[in-house]
Amino acid sequence: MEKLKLIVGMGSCGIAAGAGKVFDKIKYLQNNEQLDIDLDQTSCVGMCYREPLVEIIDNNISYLYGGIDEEKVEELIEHHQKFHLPIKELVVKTEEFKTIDNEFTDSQVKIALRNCGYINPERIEEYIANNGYKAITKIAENSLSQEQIIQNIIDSGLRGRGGGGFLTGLKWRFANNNKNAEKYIICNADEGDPGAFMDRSVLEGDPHSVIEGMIIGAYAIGANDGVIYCRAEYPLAIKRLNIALAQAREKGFLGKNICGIKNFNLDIHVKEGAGAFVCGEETALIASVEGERGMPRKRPPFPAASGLWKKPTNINNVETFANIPWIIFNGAKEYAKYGTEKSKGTKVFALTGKINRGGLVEVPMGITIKDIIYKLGGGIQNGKKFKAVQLGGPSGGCIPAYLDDTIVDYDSVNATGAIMGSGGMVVMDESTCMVDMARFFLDFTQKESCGKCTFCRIGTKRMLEILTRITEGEGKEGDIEKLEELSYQIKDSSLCGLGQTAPNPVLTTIKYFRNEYEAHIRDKKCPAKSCTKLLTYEVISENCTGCTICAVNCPTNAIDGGKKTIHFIRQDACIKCGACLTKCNFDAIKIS
Amino acid sequence: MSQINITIDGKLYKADNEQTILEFCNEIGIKIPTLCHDPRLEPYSSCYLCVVEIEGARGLQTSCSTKMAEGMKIQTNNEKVRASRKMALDLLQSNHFASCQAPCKSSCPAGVDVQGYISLIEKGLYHEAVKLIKEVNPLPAICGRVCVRPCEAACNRNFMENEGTPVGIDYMKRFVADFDLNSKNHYKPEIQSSTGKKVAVIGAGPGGLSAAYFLQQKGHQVDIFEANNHAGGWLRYGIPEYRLPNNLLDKEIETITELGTNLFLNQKLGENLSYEKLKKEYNATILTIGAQKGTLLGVEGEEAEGVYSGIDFLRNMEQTGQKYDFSGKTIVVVGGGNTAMDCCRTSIRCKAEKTYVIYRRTEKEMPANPIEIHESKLEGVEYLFLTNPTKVNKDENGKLKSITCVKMTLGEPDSSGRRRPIPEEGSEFEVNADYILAAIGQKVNADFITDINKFAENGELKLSKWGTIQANEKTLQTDIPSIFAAGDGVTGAATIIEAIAQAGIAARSCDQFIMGQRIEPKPKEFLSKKSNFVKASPKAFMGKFEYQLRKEMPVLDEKNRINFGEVELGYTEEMALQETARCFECGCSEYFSCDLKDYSTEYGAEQEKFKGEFKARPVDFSHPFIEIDNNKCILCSRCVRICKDVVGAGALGLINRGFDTYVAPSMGLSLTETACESCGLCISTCPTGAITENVKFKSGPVKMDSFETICNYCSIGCKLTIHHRSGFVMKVAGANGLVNKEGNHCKFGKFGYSFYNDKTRITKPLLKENGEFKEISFEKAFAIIAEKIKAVKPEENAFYAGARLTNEEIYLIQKLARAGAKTNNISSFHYAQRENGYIKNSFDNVPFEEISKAGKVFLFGAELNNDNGVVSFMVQNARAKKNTSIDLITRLEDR
Repeated sequence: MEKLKLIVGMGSCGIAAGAGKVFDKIKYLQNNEQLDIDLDQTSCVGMCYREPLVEIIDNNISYLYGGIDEEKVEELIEHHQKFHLPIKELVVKTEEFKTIDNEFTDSQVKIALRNCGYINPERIEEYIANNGYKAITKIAENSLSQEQIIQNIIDSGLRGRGGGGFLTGLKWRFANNNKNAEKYIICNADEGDPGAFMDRSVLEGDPHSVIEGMIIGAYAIGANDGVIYCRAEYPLAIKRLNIALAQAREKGFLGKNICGIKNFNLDIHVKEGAGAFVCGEETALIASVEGERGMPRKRPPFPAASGLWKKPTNINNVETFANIPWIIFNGAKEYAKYGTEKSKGTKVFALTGKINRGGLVEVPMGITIKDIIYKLGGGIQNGKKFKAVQLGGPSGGCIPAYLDDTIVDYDSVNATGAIMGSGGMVVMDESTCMVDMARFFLDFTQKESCGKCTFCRIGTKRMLEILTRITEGEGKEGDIEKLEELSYQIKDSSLCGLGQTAPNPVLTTIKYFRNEYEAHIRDKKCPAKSCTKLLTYEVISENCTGCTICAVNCPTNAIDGGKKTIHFIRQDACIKCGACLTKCNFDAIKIS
Repeated sequence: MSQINITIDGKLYKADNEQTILEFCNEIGIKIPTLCHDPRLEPYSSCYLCVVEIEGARGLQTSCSTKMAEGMKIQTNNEKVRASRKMALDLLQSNHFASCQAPCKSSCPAGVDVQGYISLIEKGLYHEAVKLIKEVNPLPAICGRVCVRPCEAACNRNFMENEGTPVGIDYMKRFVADFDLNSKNHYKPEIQSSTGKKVAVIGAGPGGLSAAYFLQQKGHQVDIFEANNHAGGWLRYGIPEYRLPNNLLDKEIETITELGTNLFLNQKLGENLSYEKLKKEYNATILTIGAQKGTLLGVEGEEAEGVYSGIDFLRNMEQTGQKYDFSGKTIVVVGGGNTAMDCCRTSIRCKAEKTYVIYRRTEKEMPANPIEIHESKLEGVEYLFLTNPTKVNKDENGKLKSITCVKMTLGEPDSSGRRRPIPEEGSEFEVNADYILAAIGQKVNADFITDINKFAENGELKLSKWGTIQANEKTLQTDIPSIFAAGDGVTGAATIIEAIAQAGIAARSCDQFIMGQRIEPKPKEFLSKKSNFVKASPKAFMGKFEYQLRKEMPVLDEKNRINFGEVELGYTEEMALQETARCFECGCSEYFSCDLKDYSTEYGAEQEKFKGEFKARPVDFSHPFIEIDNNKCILCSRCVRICKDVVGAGALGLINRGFDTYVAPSMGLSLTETACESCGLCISTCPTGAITENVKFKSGPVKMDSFETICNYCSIGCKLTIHHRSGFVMKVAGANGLVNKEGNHCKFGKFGYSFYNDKTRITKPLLKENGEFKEISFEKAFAIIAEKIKAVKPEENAFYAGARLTNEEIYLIQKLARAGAKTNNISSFHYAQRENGYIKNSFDNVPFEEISKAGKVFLFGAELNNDNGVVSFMVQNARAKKNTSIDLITRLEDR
């Protein structure tokens, strides 16, 4: 009988949920109680809704347990040591039997996330054992030319996963066409959309896949220096990247004459971003790497012609690079098997919001929104009605429930007014106010505008002011038109993607939920009952027992009425905090 | 570089593909606005004003950074492009917390540039100040005495705690106008050559006189027809002499008639003058007839003997030259305006025993000038406020006996904003009176209209329901195209300055009419206003100024006023100069040169369209030469970029993100603590007034004259433009010279100009005799020098050239030394402190522009930045643009 092996999911999400404590507990048991077990760590497997996750390999059978704390882990170890059987109700995934979470994993196809949650990201051996660095060795062994690799990537149909959706192979070809002794390859790991964590998970869970992707890219375009621009808010990713880079150097995957390819020299280092969203834009990113203020500049010239230090530069996103080794190893045809005509392969999404199973998913292109929400996501929390989904974060737009047959591919999503984006997918239910949602995202882009272009700097500010006014009941006739006027101008007259897309959440919500805007402006009502300033709290006389609990808890003493008498809320004094509603035990408070 | 074919606004062009659209359009004369582009800098594309539409391209493209390509089809000025530019300006203006113009100028009906003339007075340029005023107001000495001064009511000094008095604008105007009037060479405007056209002006009041002044300058012959026996209108017949002496009035009227305007007195239109003659003899007529008819009280018994309208009372005295004798009499003046003040104070001077002013509201609501009220009280006038006459009581002979009044209380504010007086029932009381002077309003007397309409052939002159002459509000043209009207006759009884303002408009339209042009009012100028953001607060305007009490007007002792001598005695020169320091200079110093303002005017920007949050930041005066006002900044970043890419100092940077972004010296320091070179290139590139010169004098702004010269601070020879007003240098700017092709300059050329204005600088040779300097002539000085040179052997003479002489001057000095004094002892002060080691081994005459083409630059010695700033900028710019490597070879301590 083999030793019991425990693997704890130690991604940032796991650690935040308490995985660190669980890990320490097992270590404690190992050391102090002389338990003869193996302990290892991996990263996020994507089931954020089940964290902390602990995988137990017992007799070569793997059981993934969810929602494990320090007590439960002790119980699990005891149970397995005694019976070598699982505690079924805690298992979220195993080959042995079906669990309720099977729907979450079954519809997924893992290419970019192929190793995430399965290997220890801090050990290059585990990456190598899972076909890691096989792609670059394949290139070396078969003496594949730059052109062959580029053609391969073009054939795979891989498009930029950072949101742009430009054909990756074509981008490489441009960079390759610019002959220069010095070229750069940059990995854009400045993931900044609120609610998006695709890149972080890949960097934390499988840093070598990104590094190998960059090595292949560098070879294809002829670059000799690489930079991973990673936001400083990802300390674990940066730590693991640096470990991985050191290991890759040691194994000769970085350095001189890599894998024996003559004159193929490359080193990669990590540059930490200082937290400006706009630095995800490639020209701003380059400025930031050069030590300048992170502000975009006009393209052309594109980085492929004049990028970092004015030299030809190729920039791809983390997920794009993570796909590359798989494509080279398995072949372009294999990759292109997945997806639709113009959008091949898979896409990773960070599924969040009012959804039952939130987490990181990798799905083949062409899947419907409906399948993602109901099959993978398990539907809406608390049985509420699905209202809309925001795709592409603050740069994207919303797709309303009635368009849930929309398939996930670049062109179909664009046709709705939203964008594929980098993979943020925020699900909203009937209690979400769409005006307030647009306001939230615009607040983000407005604050993150670098301040260079007039329209983005002042225009988004003015849009935000109008939206804030509307949600506070101060909306005026003509506000919607003013928002549209500003939106179109800002989209037309901004240098970079931030400004060009900032109005999207507003435009799509106006397109699909114009009546909500009108209700706010004309009737001073929020149909989703979410904008507090537009709500009225009232006592339902039939239900009120005169228990006084609401009056006692009202912070402004806005509720009149003595014991055993029906209470009354004075609207002039009510600050709409909702304390009465939460405190009332008799459903005697209504909002309208 | 290759030749390509492009289409711009539908026209085909051949162009060079290395050029941007903006560069090419500039070459072919298509104007594209831009705020963030400076040809000295790499394209930046942030203001989004230079957008153009390119067929097939997404959205709009910035022409400053878009290079042209074969077959490109570009629209530079279509509706979409214009709408986008306008919105960019709307948005920029919505956060442009600054005033283009000071409130004094904005509130003046005639738009007198108060801030400008105060600045000229400050510099002792009195005639220039008068010239500036007279551009829009030909009667400054008169207005300096009797204007109602809306400028002073609007003055931001009013809002200052512990002070609360406006700048003595009118007093300064009076001072400078009197100074000019009493000088031998008073200011006379230039008269354009005769057009042969003639204009008749009806009425020689302030409006008529002003219209004549403006039109005569245009080269037209103006004849004024006046019904009275003297010119001046209301100025003479309405305003008493103790406020406006007749001799002063005559003198100022003469500054108009001396331009060639004829004055025909005792000519009353409709009586002894007919439009039939005017129509025949003149190309156009301007009606400036005033509001001559006094109104009575409108109560029972007002026909009693002893009840007059105030203006009839005042006019009678002036027309007859006889003063009333009110000895032992009681006078009741009804009304609260300036005419009431003139009536009551005149009554005192006519020796009245008791003078009452009855006014239906309180003193606070009185429209009269507060100083007048104050002086009247000093002189003995008594006030019955909240009182209204209801009936005039007369004796059996129909002679006035008394006046019955009712007490009033104040109710809700009416449409004028003043609280409406309501009679208190049963509060009637009687006041005995010998005379009642009703000063409650005037009406227009336009009886001549029948005469005009009888002879007019193309149109009809009409009156409004208030009896005033109808004219187009913007052009003041009447329904008879050749007749224009201005002043009280159009507006009803108003102020002198309004009449002058209207005369300006009517004169402009009249000029256009007789010159066969389209009649168009002055185009509306965009004006950014702080008041569009917040109500006036002193802090927003005070800037670098200090508390300073107003210089009060010296007046005649109140015991000595039973005569018609002028009460206000006028500022002395010293007082006027001191008072200039109180001006906050609320208007922007870049008023005449601001691109943002010009484009906002051109595109009709609206400051309040996107009203919202705005940033109010303190102005940074900490640098001795450079003032940073972020309130005006549009974040084009030109200053930041020029400081980094051209100067190499990197003294300025952008702080924060998005809407919170602003420009500030690096690392939170004061600009003086950074690597700032004080070259002022940031000022030269700022498209608005955000970075300006921190001048030690009042910058005006005023329009300046300029000339070009070569800077004599170092040996480079940069071309500079010197801007001055009447010899007072106010600004130096770089010009595109042979050497400094881009118009750059260093700190010396830019800021080292105060010596021009130094009145104590030596301009004549001085000879020291017995320990004292004595001015001598140049001839004498040369003779002495020659004598001294000859007194010793040639080799005992040495010639040192000054470090700031031009090449030509240095050449002449060596000529003088070698040919004249036969010595080879020649050197320059500039090299006096230098050690050996500077060997002349370079090629001669390598032009500076070769620097930009160099592969590597060696600098010997570190003084380039200090001594030859503009060349160091060329070196730095090569480094920024081309990464040219620079080796500095210097001693350790010079680094």
